[in-house]
This record gives sequence, C-alpha cells and structure tokens, in this order.
Amino acid sequence: MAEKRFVYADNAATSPLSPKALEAMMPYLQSNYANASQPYSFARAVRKALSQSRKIIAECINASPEEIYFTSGGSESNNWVMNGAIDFGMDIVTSAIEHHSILRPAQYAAENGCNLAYIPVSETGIVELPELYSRIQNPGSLISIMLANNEIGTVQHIAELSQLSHDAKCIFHTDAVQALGHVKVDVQTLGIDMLSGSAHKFNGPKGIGFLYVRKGMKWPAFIKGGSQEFGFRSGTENIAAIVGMATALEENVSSMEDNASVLNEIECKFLYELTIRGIKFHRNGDSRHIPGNISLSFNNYEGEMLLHRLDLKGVMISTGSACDSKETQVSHVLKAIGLSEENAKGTIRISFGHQNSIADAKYIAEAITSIVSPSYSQANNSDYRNNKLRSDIPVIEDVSPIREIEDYRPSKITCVNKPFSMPNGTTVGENIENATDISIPSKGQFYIRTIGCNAEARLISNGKIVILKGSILRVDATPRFDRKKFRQKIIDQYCTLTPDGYLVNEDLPPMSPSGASGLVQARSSNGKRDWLDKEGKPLSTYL
Amino acid sequence: MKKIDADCSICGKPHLDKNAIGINIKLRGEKVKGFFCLDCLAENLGCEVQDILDKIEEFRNEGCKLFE
Repeated sequence: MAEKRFVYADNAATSPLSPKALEAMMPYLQSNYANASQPYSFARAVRKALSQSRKIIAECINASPEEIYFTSGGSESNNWVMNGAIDFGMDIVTSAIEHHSILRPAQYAAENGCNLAYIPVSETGIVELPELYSRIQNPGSLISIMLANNEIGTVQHIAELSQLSHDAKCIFHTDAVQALGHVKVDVQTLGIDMLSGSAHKFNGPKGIGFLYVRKGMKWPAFIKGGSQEFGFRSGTENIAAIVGMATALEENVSSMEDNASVLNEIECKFLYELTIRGIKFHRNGDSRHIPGNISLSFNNYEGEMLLHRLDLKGVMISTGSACDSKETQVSHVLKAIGLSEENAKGTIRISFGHQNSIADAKYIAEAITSIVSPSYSQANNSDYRNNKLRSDIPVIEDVSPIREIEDYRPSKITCVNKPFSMPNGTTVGENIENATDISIPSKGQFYIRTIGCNAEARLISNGKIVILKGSILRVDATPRFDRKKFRQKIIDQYCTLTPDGYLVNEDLPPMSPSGASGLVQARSSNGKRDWLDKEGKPLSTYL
Repeated sequence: MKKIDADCSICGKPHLDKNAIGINIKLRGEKVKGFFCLDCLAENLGCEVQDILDKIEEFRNEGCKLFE
C-alpha cells in the first residue's frame, strides 16, 4: 500500500466548490451586500447579478429565465413540488428509488388524501414505460421520476417517460440534482415540466438550488410573504450563492464532455485495478449512468466497515447501508433493484469528480484490496517481500503490462467467426455459411457507446448482429444478469482485459440484437432500442 | 448487548474493554473472530491509536449500542 493520502471520492454527496465560483461570489459576500429588493442604486449591481445568474442557469438547461425559481437546494425544490400536488389534491406517481425529499413528502401527501403509487425499477434501476403506464390512473396526476439516481448513478430514459406522462395528460417533474452539470439536461428535448437542481452537486456552494417550472404552469407558492422569486418563494435572495451556482453550472456544462471523458477513464482504471487484483465484486446500476458514479457490492463484507476502514486510509466514500443505534439500515434503492440483504449491506458508492485522478483510482483500488484481500496486498508489499515477515503468503508477481492496443477501428467483415457453444449446448453463430453469404452487403453499422463500453456492430441480413473487432465491452456485470456464464465464455475466448474494458480481439459470432447488447453492457437489455446508428436512430427503425 | 470477555489475540492484553470490543466489530466486521487491543488494532490497520479513539468517540455520540 502506497503512502497514505487524502482522496475524496464522494462527489455524489457533495462536491468541492469551484475556485471560479468562489471568485465570482466574493464581491457579493463583502462589498456588494445590498438587498436586491431595495430600489436604491447600491442594489443595482446586486439585482443585475441576480438577473444574470437566472439567465445563465436557464441557458444551461434550455429554459427561459422567468422559469427559474431560486430555492435553498434540491430538497426544498422537491418539497415544493410535492406540496403543490397536495394543495391541488393530485394523484402522485413516483419511482421506488427517489430521494427521501420526494418519498417522505409523497408519503405525507398520501396521508393527506392524495393517491400515491410507486413504480418498481429494473435490476439496473431503470423505470420501464409499461410500469409507469400501468400506474397512471387519472389525467392531471403528478409524475415524479429522478433523472439520475444518487446511489447507483442510473440515468433514466426521461424523454420517453415524460412523453408517456404527457400523453396521459399528466405533469412531469424530475429531480435532476445528481444529473445537472454531469449529463446533458435540456428541458425542451426531455419534455420536463418541473425540474429540481442543487448547486453543491456540481461544484457550486451549499444551501442554494432552484426549481424550474415550465411557463404557463400554475404552481402554488412555497414561501409567502414577499415579492422575491416572482412572489412564489419569498425571502431575501442569497446573491453570493446564486452567483456561485450559476458560475459553477456554466463551468460544468461547458466542460461536460471533457469531464465525462476523464471520469470514464478514471472509472475504467479503477475497475481494471480491482479486477486484476482478483477482487470479487459486482457493480450496481446501468450502463447509462452518471460518469464516475460507481456502486459496488462485496460479498461477506459490510459496507459500513469498508467505509470506516477506507476512511482510516484517507479515502472518503459512501455506503449503501448504515448502522443506527439498533440495527443496520439498508438503502431503499438497493432493496428496489433487488439486491439481497447481504449484498446490500456490502455495498459502497465511489463517486469520482473531475478533480480526481487516475492515481486516486489506483490508490482506492489498492486500499480496497488491502481490506478485502489482505494476502494480495501483503504479498505485493516490498516490506513483506524483503523482510520475509510472512513467509506463508505466496508472492504474486506483478501483473503483466497492458499490451498496446494498436487498432481500435472495427475490422471489415469478410467472414463470420466460428460457431460458439453455449453452456446449455446450443450454438451461437449456427448457419455460419449462410450468414457469411448474406452479410454482403450489410444493412449498416450500429453502436453502443455508453460509459464502460464502446461497441460497434454490423447488422446482417438475417437480423442478427455481429460485434466487431476493436469493440470494448463493459467489465462488470449487474448482479442478476442471467447470461453471465455465456458472457464469460465469450470473453475468455475472444477478449483481452484492458483499462478501458474487455477488448474484442476478433469479430464475434452473430447473435440476436438483445443478446449482443446484453453482452456489451453486461446486463439484460433491449437490443433493438440500445443499438443506435450514426445518427442515433435505434436498430428497431430498420427491422 | 451480550458482554464479551476477551483478551487481545495478538499481544494477549487481558480483559479488553467494551470500546475495544466494539471498535473491533465496527472495523473488522460483525463476524470477527478474536479481538485486538487498540494498540494492536491500530498497527494492524495501519493507522494511529488516536484515529481509533476518534472513531470510538463518533460511534458513541451517534448512540451506537456497542459502546454503551
């Protein structure tokens, strides 16, 4: 284990304040302290800053400034939405993995006469359309589904969910606290009526957030007694925090792709470092997830224990289970995705931020290894080797250097690979000769490019998919992925582990679109939806 | 909470107190077999004894029954 260092990897809990945001805030903490509501000239600069910040935030989500209402944070925004539903006596439909600032007020609404329905989620935390559809009983209901989950990072198919909600004449709210500044959020494209945001999740200051309410919607005021926020959320504005939030969001949005790229690299390196050390874990969540958000479950280890042990090594992370004075409380999110109690108790969340580095990822992987596999750490520790403190521990030689990946470009299909036998005796890639013949000309190429995987495939005439050489498959499978053995066999036969994921060394045998997308993403998936062409159209368009 | 009477599995220090037992369970897991005194635990975990004492204080403040 390297020398102890401080590694903050709990950015989903809160993120460090951006220096640029701090700089922007300073004048409003010191010299420009006027109350924005006062009519004198001293308050002019403050009013201007307020107005400019509202404009910047609106632009970041493709909204209009008058649709942005400043609040004290995400929890207040969510409570505002739920309180409005109570005032109007609306039905509420929400998912089982929402933040407590949605679930608790929703429960309160139910106790006060509102109909409340929870939507279950898939094992990767996805809200499926039929599940939402079946729970909408009346038009005019409030549908609230978070854009990205805080514990497992799963990003929902918000555009489809909002479309269905609107088709049913319902109002669609999303808690975008974890998503803003990390994934692209466009309220027009996504069809969002209301959206909650919180600054400290995207390197802004704490204690400030906002609620977006689509123009034309009449939503009850949250705090009455003043004219601030168009009379809907009274109270003297915290100008410094508002300016800091706008600066941080603008900064994060403008560097979103670069940040995602860095985080993807860190994430892959971290999982690679764990994997080469032989650490057994499974990853929770979906391949569509917030960059850098990694939920891992370890068998036979308590998440709380891991958290405190990592803390002693200078690593800050979160756990999916926490012990109160009497018993261990397991997260409702981990329960909802169907984790066993043991796995849920052994779950930790590592959420990297763009301030983290590859070295941080390696350090955390080493720290985890030293806890869950001390014999590996000790065997690889030079002190132990040189001083022979533990002669009973076998020395594991350094892992071979990662081979250079010469060519990531997909190969041209000239023939299809040999048949591959599945564990149940059936063969993938049968009718090989036939497939080879009809693959020329092919219908086109399709891609799955989500975090942890970057695959290219060709659709051949019999409706099957051939994953091409150079594709990258996700390393970690979701716990209940039912084709793990099949996947492992393919990986053993055709792939090499690299820091980016499993590199496909030769074109794979043809398989069904869903089989292929499941193989790439290491989870059950709908291949016709997940394989996209160059323009982003799903495979289903062509079949 | 059942009272555990244990000696340090490493140095043999007798009759570990409830804080030592509790922090072993917290930091080494519920299924831990054998307990370490604070000195040996700190050495085993590669940290300072003060780090362990700080953890004990925090758990106690949270109301954890292991440290009552």
